[in-house]
Amino acid sequence: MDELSTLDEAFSRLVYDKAARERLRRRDWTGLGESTRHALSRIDLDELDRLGSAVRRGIETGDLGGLGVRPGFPRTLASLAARGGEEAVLDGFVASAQLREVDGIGRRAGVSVAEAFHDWVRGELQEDPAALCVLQHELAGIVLKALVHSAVPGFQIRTPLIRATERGHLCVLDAVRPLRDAEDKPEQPFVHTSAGGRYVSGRLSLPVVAVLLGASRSPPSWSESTLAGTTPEWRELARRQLSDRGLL
Amino acid sequence: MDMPWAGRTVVGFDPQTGAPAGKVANFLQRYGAGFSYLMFSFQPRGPAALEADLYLPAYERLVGLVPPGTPLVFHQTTLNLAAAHAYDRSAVYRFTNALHARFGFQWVVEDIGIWSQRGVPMPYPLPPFLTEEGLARTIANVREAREQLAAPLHIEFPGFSDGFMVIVGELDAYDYFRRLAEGAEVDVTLDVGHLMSYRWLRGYRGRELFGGLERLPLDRCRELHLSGCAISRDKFLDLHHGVLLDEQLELCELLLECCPRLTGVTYEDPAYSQEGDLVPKAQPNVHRLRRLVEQWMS
Repeated sequence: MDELSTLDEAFSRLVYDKAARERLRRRDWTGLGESTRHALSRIDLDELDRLGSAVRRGIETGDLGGLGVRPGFPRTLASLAARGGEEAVLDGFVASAQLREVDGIGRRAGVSVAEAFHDWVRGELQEDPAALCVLQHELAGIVLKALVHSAVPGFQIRTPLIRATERGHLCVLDAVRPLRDAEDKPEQPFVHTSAGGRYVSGRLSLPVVAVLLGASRSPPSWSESTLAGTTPEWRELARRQLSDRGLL
Repeated sequence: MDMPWAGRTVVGFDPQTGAPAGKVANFLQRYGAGFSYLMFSFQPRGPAALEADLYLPAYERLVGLVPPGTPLVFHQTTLNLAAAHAYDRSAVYRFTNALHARFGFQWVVEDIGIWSQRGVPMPYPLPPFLTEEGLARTIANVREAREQLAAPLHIEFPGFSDGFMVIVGELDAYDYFRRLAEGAEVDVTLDVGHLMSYRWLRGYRGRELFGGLERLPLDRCRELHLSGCAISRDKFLDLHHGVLLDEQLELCELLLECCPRLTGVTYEDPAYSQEGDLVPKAQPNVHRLRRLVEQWMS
């Protein structure tokens, strides 16, 4: 790594990582070379703290990069805060590797803040299926609501649980348990859709969900087998009804 | 004019309809013909992609509020020219060039600063790394942008009071900016308040705020910016609140004399009422500025 990259990496840590700022305040230069130390030697630590706090607040509210943690994940945030304090949760996320995957500029060079938060929390909540289930639903809700207003989002959607359809996007989850992956078949299907300028969510039967998934660009294998148990007349009727409601 | 899409302020675009807010329309209809050109700034439309089609209808409505043929200038905020990390600007170039194809901008301008750090926008653009390596990288970034943008690129001297004074490196900012402009071979915009904020930060007061101008790339200066500033509790504040300081006009007058290739003077972010009237506090020095510029033009 050249000198500038090393300096930029150190600067990034200072902006995003409260612990790094605290180390600098203690004049702990561990791991930093002479030129980096020199470049950072006159930095105003109080201003740096203010900047770090403002960045964390902006990511929390969505003012910086959009799709903020607080509006998008109220239940997940409360659940995590009960374990270690809300501030620590937000500090942890802002300092995480997952936040480095974000593109909040609109270039589609990375994921949304919401998906990065989901990815970070998923690791933190591995032993809590109920909380993981809430997390999946909150991610689907905030992303698909955003897509109602911005059909061409400025971020990538990497989670395979959110699927592109002809008219928008679709996310099929389970109402009571987290899905393992995009092939996992829900027992109590719950759908989030963004289509035709509307966000709609709610429970549907498995065959109806299979019809919806059939219109997506990457349906799971179980949707076809589910539809195999229905008649062509029923499928046609289901498609028509879903279409009438703007969901297909 | 800064034109955000958020609902918090009434200046900007309505995020639902894309229409310029009523007070913006009132102001431009009232005063638009009195300005030689219109500069408007890019602000993200929520989580929308940098796609010209998503912005063009709103920008067309804005431009429709000034007399036909009014020259246009676009203030970018996503070129992020002082970024030291890898930052792919191809989407920014495509977007800006598509807008330029429609509007024929006189130039595109952006403050030399760190507008986003590794994908996350900063609350305010941070000053560039004032180091030799930082300067070399920024020269390369500006050269690339100059080559990729269809409209002429002007780089703007950064602010040193906007929010957070996190300064990395020890180069003098005036020297840095001159070397940057020369190294990248671009024209520049000098923001009067930004210059004063840097001198203030370095401890200068009174007439000394106007010192050191010879270290700036005056022969490359095509545009001056003046936005509302204030001095409070020994801090220089670049508030963009529309009210110009007497000292800004003094420095502006000096710069008008010593920038031989100057093309325009921009009054940034005017403050006006819902009816579009300039607020009373702003009026005296805006009128003084207008007289200064008219004198210079004559």
